[in-house]
Amino acid sequence: MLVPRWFVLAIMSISSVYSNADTVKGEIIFDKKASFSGVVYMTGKETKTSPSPSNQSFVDQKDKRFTKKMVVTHTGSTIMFKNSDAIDHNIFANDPGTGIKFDVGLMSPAQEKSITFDWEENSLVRFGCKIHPKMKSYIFASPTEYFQVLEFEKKVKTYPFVLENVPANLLSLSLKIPKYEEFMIDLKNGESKQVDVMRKGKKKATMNVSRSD
Amino acid sequence: MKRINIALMGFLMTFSFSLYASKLVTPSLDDIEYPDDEAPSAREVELGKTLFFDPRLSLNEKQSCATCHNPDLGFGEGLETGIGTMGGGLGRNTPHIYNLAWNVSFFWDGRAGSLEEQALGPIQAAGEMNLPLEKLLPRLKGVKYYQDTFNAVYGDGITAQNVGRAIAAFERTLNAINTPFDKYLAGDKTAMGPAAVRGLALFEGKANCTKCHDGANLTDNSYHNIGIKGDDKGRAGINGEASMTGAFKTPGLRNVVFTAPYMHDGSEASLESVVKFYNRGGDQKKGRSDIIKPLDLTKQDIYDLVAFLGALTDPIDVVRPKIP
Repeated sequence: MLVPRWFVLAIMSISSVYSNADTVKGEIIFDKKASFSGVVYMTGKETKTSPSPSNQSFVDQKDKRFTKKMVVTHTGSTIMFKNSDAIDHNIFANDPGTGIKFDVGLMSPAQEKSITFDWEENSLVRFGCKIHPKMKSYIFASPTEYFQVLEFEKKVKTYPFVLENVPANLLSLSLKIPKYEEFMIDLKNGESKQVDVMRKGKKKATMNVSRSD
Repeated sequence: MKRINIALMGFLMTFSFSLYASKLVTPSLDDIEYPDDEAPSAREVELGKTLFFDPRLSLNEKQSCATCHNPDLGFGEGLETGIGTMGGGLGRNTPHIYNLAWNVSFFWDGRAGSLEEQALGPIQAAGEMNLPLEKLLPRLKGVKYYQDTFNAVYGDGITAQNVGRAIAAFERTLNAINTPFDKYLAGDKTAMGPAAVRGLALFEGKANCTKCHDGANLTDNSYHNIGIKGDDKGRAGINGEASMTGAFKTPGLRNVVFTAPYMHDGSEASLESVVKFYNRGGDQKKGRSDIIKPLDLTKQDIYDLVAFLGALTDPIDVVRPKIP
């Protein structure tokens, strides 16, 4: 049976697309106590990679804590906040780093509120509760859908991460941890790198990362 | 029908779980959020302690931080409301500084977000130590001990920021974490007397205390109007929220027996009078939180609650440093 030439070409082009999707794999090892949360993500220089703004993120409040240590959104997307506690909460942000402020308003038990954010991509904003200042979490306006949030715990030092199906043209790997120095490195297929993760000029952790098919 | 029941159970479970206050536990040193993620060096703590006791930090060199936060008086000064270095009276009671290492907002109205920021407030406040930072820094620079130690600890020498860092580093060591209550929690059931054990049950139950005084340091770190007479705006004076008018930060209760008098205005002289205040549901209804309501405690209940508060005691011995 003869296979048409166009069919072979089509299959070849599809497989070449897939072979261009890489796996970025690595770990962050803290020297001492781990931080609070962080996000590792891949971007390309001139490639628009953020998904459509219809995606909705969600964060709840339970036992006077946010259920996520970092919520990822995309510019123009919506975050739904919920209050599953038996007491009132009032989510707000007044982030000195980015200058971003917002106030979700008073939320009674079981109430939900959705907010659409139009911040610049890459903004990392701390938010909390006006009534319970010990509550904290972060919102990251991700420029890409190739990211992984890392929720750190005080007694765990090593945090592995895997980003799958990363398009070949996304060559820049970034790490953001609140209050740490953020960095961006180039990472091509076949490369392995080790990076010092710094805070205020002091090394706090090591990132080992590699990229392969 | 079955599905509805499961959904209802899930709903009830969520809410019955959330109704409980945070557990009363022993604070963990691992939970302290140090500015650089690690505990300060002994030298930094000693520098902060020296600054804390140094009267150079007030304009007329009559007051140090320890004048109002006197370690012999539970880091207060035993007065209803404090006195500034120029002799004028202050509007609120001096807050104690036990276990602030775990705290997230400072002053009765929470206007400072870190111990470092807080430390510089009273130094500059006209009614308190009345010393502008531009006068403080040259004063400290004239002292060899400060020159050498700031340089060794911070690299960039004597700056306002480093003064705050050093004082905060010292304050984060004033931790009461080995009280009879902590020993009781760890399994030593004889560590608290029978009255204190009954008091604990009242504290978490009938007396409603853990509605606000919960968690490791017996504070929810929040703000409440508990019905104290007066027109101090409290938290609302900082964030403009009308709902927080007359609301003040819930103080932690570790070593509370040393920190009399009580309340933001020092209006209650003893722990007994504090419990009686809550038992009658406060003294002013305007703006008062719904949490505050008459408790119907008996004399025995009041006795037991005071006994429990006494079991939160772990004296901290602070040896006064030699001022350079």
